[in-house]
Amino acid sequence: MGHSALLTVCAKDLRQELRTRESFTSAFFFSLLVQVVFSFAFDFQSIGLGFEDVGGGILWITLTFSSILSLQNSFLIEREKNCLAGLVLCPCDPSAVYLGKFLANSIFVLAVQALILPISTLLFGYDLLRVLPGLAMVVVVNAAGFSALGTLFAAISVRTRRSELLLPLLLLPAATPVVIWGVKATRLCLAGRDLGAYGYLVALSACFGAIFTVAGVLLFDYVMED
Amino acid sequence: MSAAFLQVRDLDFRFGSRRILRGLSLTLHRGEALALFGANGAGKTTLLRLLATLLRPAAGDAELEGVSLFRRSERSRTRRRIGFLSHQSMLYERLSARQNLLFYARMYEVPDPARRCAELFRLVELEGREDDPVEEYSRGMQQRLALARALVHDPDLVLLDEPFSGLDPRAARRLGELLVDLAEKGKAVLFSSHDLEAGLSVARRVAILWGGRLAFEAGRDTLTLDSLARTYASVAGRIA
Repeated sequence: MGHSALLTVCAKDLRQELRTRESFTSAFFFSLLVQVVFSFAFDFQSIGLGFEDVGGGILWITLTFSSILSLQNSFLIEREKNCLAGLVLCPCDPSAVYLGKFLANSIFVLAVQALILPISTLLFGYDLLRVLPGLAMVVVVNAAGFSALGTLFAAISVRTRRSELLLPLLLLPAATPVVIWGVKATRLCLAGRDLGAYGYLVALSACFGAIFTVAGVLLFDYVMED
Repeated sequence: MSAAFLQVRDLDFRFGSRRILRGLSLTLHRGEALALFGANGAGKTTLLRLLATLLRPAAGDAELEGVSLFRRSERSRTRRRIGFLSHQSMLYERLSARQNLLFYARMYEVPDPARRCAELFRLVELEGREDDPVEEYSRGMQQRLALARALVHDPDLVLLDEPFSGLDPRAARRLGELLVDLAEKGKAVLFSSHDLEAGLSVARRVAILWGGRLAFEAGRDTLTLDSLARTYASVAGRIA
């Protein structure tokens, strides 16, 4: 039962996004802007640094803030016409709704990153293909961890009047560990180090994601209560 | 008469320090439609939201065939038996009407969702507009689609908050017929309305809610529109 409700919620969110492209467009253009601004702002080659030194920071600033835009929208669409109540009234396990939202959010975040990473290659003149498998793993694991926490906090903040303000205030401090591990792992990966050098950081991020996924599953029912 | 299908006992609800419902009790039987009248702020919407399990009472209980609506362990089972039409449509405006209904049908695990949706589109007379985005629907069409959403899982208890609002006279008459039909099929129907005439034409029993209490309750057979209007005015005058 939970399995089918999970996929139904995820498919509904993706269908809605495909129809409007609201979250994707805003997250993509924000990410693009950040990349372009950084490419002009930092002349890191002149001080002897390469993209492998600063790329982790640039990529994670982009991912973190663009994710907040799509996380916020995933529950704001439920607030319109009180669809949130419609979801609450469904007889499925509430955790299936959380997991469906989490899955859809992770897909949004990764879809934006899948477009932004090649653009970084062009802007910063770095050959990402060389490190793509490792980098993809770091991005997928950390983005999923960030989305697990973000989905739960977006659900908490959506009932408040200033949810747009509350979500970053709640999420950014709590997500600091996964962002730091993501930056460190990305830097090591871009520097061409093998998995042994940053595997523990990916494992830590996976644990973080797992903990907050379990927290979301356990707490979502209470979070959704009026 | 058979045992009550819905039994509400001493229901109390507070919003902050304000007491919205004050020990409200009522019963509803299968095959019965109960119209709930009352001024704005009387507690009609709060009562319906409580019975839909969207809110929890401060005191009292409501049982559906002996099972408390507020028991967390039974909530999935009870929610499967309740259909709720609220002020807001609970519809995703950017999705089509069909996508909305199919979504809710799947969430309620309705067998053969496509067929059920086709039945409902026929019932609410929205055939031919199924694939239009809901945001392109008029207020009345959205109200009819919201009704279809509330009925998608064929609930035993149908709760409707001002279902006639936003409907043109023909659609309101059609809705009235539909509610009578639901009651005849053995569903228990509880709806709120400000329209005494429309409510009286559908209900088997009427009640007036005032200040969070049931101030009046009577069978349809004992009332005319005039007598109901006089009673309503007298309740309003007495309590005010």
